[in-house]
Amino acid sequence: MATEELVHDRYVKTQQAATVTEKYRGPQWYMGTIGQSANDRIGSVPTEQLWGYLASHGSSLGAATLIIIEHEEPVVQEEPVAFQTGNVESANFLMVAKGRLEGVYATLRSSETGLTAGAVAEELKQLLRYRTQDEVEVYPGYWVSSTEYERRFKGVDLEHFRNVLPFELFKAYVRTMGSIHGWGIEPKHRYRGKD
Amino acid sequence: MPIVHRRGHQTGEPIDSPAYVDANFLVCYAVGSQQAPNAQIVARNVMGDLLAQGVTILISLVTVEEAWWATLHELYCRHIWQPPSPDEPCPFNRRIAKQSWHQLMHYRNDLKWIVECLQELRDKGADIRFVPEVEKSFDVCQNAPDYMETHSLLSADALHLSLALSQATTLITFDVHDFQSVIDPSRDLTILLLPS
Repeated sequence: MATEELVHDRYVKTQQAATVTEKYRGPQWYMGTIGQSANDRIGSVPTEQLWGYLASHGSSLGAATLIIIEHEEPVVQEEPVAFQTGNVESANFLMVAKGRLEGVYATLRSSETGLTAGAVAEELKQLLRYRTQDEVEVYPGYWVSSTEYERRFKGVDLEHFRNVLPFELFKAYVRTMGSIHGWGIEPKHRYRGKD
Repeated sequence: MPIVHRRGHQTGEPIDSPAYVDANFLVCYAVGSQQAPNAQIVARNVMGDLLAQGVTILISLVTVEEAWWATLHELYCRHIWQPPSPDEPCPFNRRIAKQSWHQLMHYRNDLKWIVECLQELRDKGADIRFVPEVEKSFDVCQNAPDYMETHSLLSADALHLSLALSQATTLITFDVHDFQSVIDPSRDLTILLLPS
C-alpha cells in the first residue's frame, strides 16, 4: 500500500476520533506510534528526541508505521501529512489536535488488534511514560522541551531582547533561531505567517 | 574612515547600518554548529542586536549558496555520518556530498527554510534585503577578482567583500582568517570579526 493510501486509510479510520491537521509547529509536540510489530512502537517522547530516534532508527521503520503527533495549536486544516525526515522516507505522520492523541490512538489500535478499550488504555499509558513535564514557555503559547531550550537558546539573552524588540519581531526571532534541525519539513508545514 | 577590524561583540553594542552578513553567521543563527557551539550563541545574540537596533541586514545569493553548503555539511555530520570514534572530526567535501546525495536531499526543505527564516523576520518588521541591485552587479563582479589578488581571498569571500564595500558599512563574519588581512585605507568598512 502506498504511503499516501495508507495515511488516507488511517485518516478515514480516525475521522470520528480526531481532527487531523497538516500544520506542523515542531518541538512542542508529542507522539505515539502504531506499527505492525512491537519494534515499530517507539513510545511517546518529546519531538526533539523523536527526531533523534528517527535519524538513527528511521531506516528500520516500515511504511506501516504511523507516527501520531499531538498538535499544540488550533487546527487549521483537516488533512493528513506524510513527509520525509532524516533517514525516514516512508513513515507516516498524523497530526492530531491537542488532547486528541489518546482518542486517536485508541481508535486505531483497537480497530487493528481488537484489543479492549482497557488494554489499549494501558498500552498507551506505557507509551506515554516518556512524556516529559519539564517544558519551558519562551513566550506565551510557545513551549519547548528543556532539551530544545538548551540547544537553541542557551547563552542567548532572551530577557534583554524581549524588552527591546517589538513583540511580534521577538516571536519571529525566537521561532527562527536554531529552528533548522534537519527534519526535512516543507516550509508550508512550518509556522510561517501563523502564531 | 578606513577599513576597521573590530573583534568580538557585547550584547547591546552598536552596529553600523547597513550590515552585510556572511554565510557562517546565517548558519550559526538558524542551524547552529555542533563543532562550534559558542559561535551559534554569538550569532544569535548579534542577530538580536541587529533587529533591536533596526540595522539593515544585507544578504546575497553568495551568502545563500554558501549557507546551503554549510547547512548540508552540518546536517550530514549530525544525521548521516557515523564517526569511527567519538572524537573523530566529521569530514565533508564534494565527493562525500555526491556519495550521500540521496540522503542529503532529504534536507532540501531545510535549505528553503533558511531563506524563509529571513522572510519571517522581515515580515515582522526586520529590514532585510538582498544585494546587489542588478545594476550594481557588474561592478561587484568586476572588483571581486582584484580583491582575490590583493587580499588573498577565495572567490566567494572576495565577492562578499566586494558586496560589503559596495553597499554596507559593516561586514559581519566569523574570525576565521579570511578577512583578517583585508586592509585598505581608502575604503570605509567595519569588519566585525565574531569569535568562533
